[in-house]
Amino acid sequence: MTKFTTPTRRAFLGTTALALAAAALPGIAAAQDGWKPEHAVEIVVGVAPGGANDRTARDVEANLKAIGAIPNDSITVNKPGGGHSVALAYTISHAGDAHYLQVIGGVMLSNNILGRSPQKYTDVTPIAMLFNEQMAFAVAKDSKITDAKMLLEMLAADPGSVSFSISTGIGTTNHISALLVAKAAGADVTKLKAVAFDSSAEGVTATLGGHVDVAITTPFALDPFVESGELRYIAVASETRGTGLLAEVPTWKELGVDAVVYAWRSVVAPPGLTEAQIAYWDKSFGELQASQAWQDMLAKENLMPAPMDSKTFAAFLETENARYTELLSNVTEPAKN
Amino acid sequence: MLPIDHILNGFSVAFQFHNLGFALLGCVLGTLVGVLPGLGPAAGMALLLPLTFGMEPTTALIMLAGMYYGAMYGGSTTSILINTPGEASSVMTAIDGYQMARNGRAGAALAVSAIASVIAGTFSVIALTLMAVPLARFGLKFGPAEHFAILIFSMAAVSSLTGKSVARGLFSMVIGLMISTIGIDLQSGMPRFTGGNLELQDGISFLVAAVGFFAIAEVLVNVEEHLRGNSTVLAIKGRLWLTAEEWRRSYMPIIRGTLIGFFKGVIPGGGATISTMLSYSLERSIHKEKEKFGTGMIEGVAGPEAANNAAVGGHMVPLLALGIPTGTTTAILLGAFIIFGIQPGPLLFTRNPDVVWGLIGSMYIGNLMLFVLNLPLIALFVRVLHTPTGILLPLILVIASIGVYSIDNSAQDLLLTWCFGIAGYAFKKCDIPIAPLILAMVLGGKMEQSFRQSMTISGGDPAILWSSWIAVLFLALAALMVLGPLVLRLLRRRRVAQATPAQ
Amino acid sequence: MVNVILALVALGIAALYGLGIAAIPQMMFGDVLGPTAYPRLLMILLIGVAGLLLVEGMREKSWAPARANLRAFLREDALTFVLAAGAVLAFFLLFRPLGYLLSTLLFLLVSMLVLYRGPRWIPVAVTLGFCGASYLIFVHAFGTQLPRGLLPF
Repeated sequence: MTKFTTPTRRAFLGTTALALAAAALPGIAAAQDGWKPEHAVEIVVGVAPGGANDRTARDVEANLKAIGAIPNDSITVNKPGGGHSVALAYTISHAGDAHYLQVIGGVMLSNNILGRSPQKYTDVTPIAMLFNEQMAFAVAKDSKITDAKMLLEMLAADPGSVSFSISTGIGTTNHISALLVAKAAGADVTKLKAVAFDSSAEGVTATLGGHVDVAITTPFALDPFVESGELRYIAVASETRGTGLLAEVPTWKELGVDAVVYAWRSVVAPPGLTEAQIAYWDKSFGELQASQAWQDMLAKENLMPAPMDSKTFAAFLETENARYTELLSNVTEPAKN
Repeated sequence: MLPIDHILNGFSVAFQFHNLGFALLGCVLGTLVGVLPGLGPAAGMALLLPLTFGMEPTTALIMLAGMYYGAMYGGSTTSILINTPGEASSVMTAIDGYQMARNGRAGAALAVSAIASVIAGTFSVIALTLMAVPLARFGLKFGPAEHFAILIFSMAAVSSLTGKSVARGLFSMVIGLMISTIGIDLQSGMPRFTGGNLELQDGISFLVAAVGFFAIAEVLVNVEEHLRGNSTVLAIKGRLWLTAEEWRRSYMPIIRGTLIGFFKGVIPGGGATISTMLSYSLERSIHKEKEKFGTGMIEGVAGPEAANNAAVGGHMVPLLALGIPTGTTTAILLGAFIIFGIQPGPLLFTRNPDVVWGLIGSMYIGNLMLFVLNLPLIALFVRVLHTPTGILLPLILVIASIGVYSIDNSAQDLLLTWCFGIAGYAFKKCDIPIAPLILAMVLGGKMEQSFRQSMTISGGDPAILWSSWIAVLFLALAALMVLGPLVLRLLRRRRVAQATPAQ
Repeated sequence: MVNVILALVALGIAALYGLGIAAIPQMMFGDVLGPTAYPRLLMILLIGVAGLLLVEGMREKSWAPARANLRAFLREDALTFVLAAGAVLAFFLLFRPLGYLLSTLLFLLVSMLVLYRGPRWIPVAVTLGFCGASYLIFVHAFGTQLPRGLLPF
């Protein structure tokens, strides 16, 4: 037995040295780049499993893994509550830790403007903008509203003559787009009949049954009914015309109404990250958004790619927040009692 | 293809070996989730959903649907054995089911709920197979005003559950309604009664209140009795299975419960809870010995359990044909469809016939599987009651707490549950019924919102509330339910008054 | 007596609820009725229920049995209740900081040793078995995100 001991140990030492060198190499590379995840990465999302935001979070996790941006473990953490504020508070509590990423949309701005949540967009580190979801306006097939022009005329004559189903409440992009259209029609926006529903499916159902006139929600929820002929698109609150069924549908902009609103989705991180940490995620999300798998997912779910890096996204948040504030405060003057 | 070809095709998909296997796995996991106190179908499916990522869509959906009705089957078990409903639609089962267990008839209660479930489940799948699309059309007639009418009717049913003291029953109900107002108000977007607490903005979830009021309160009361030496080992009297007499009393409630459950299930919005309440109050109101309800009447278990499980099939109608979830659990199932790239809705039957008919086919098999699976389990489950109290009580508490914590991963929910547990203990000591509070809490929020949705649509004109025959029908039924007993009592008194001078 | 006390509790809750209603922010947004109309109705209902409870309380012939019940409760069960409720509260408060495994281990062991009057090894075995099995089922099979607390796993 002793015979074999020496060479074995030598071999062992040799491999150890090699392994050490190998282990050190990426370390050096990472040191040059600045930073990389040292342990498990948490993708935080403020909804329960199964919702649209949860799907985005899981897509982000899977695709970050696929491009090798998460070298260790990762987990999607659901922190539902308070319209994403509970999750946001959780993310903010990990100040300086770049292993936490949160998927979130425009509620981050509107919740704070409406006074529902104390967290401001400036409390987090913007990482990347991912995509826009469009806001489409649809009516039942036998609705008295034939097209967008007619909707504007009706609103101008009597803002109470049309009811809108806006899913999941006041201050959402669905609601804001209705406000913008009513404002452009010259209607008194406080008289707008905006009926809030628990989910976009409920809002669409009420429109299908003729209980509400206009459904405002994402093409993802509306497309199946438009395709089967039960709903008609009348307009979309996008910058340019969409694809698929939306190719035929005019934008409000074409109709002379300045109503461009998207339900955007983005990634933010805890406050107090270093330049190197931000740079790492900037690079990773750049790669992610350029990947074929990601683009296929966007096309399949009818989402408009809107990639932005951390700097552009930060600037966007500032202008978007100013726009939301103006829009919402225009109609949210406190009641007189 | 003729409809019969679709159905046969569906069975051929469902009978593929791996689909059978995953249907069985789903049923087993669902049963497991259902029998754990504090975990209902919704919480259970949310937990298990990530397990199916990466499977073939049809297989994954078959497994998830198996979990869904497996959990509905299992949900009655905890209601009956330890008075802890895992979801709102099992609350009614707990009322008489738990009393049956205390009377030594736990086996019969479990057996009748299994029988009711298999009959109701099979009927509703047959109805789903034959009439999904036309029924879905009918469901669209229900707008906010019609929902409001149904909910008013349900509240009338709740208020008839008051027990001995009307005032205490109403106290329980109004507190439940108040709890339902906590959180962001949907129509105005404003937070109410949250005291600035972020987690309260989404309101208080059913499980937090149910585990507190039922499980923790029950454990606290039992600890006392245990230490005092009044051991509450619930001996089984008679055979485990139903007696002929019990079966004779059960089959009509099962048939009525099945019909109510399925048709209520078809209507989007509201969930299965309302159908169980309707079934219970129907059974109670047509029974000769009304006052015996709440003391362990088998009719009060058979009807609601049938309604509960028939509603599962009913819920599949709007879910598959319109893409509309009827409650929390179906919302999670809808999420699963979408994750697998399948959009339920009007085109589903033509675009993904294999998936739909495979799923429907698997529901026939799943129902039978569950029945066969659950029969031997009854003997096992009643064994739970033989576990020494000193061991059983802490375990119930821990498992229920895991359920509460895992809803939102929130430690605050645990503290809320504790507060509800203390309140529930006080309710029990003061003889205040708990079911009205829980049911009012589940239905109250929807009632307010649908009323305000109607008012927004009509611009403040209340006429919208009785503008359709459906709404008028339910409002009239509600009035009958509240005023009927009063009028009867008045008539009886007058008759007595007229009779006295003659004597 | 119980009804009268309940009536007072109901009035207290109604008052607290009223304070809560006053704190609801009002905006020009939303619907005709606004967020406070329905809560106001509920508050009035609860005050009405308090009235009903008082009426039922006054109808009681004698308060003696209720008083005897209360005395019996204070003598026999009050301490048990406080201890049991306290143990559950402690378990909930320690759930996060200690982690699921440690807090559950502690709670089950202590409460079973107190409540179970048989051989001592049974509570120990059940506790260990349950903790291990439940952790495997919930965390590994169901993927529940239970708190780790002090332990590394």
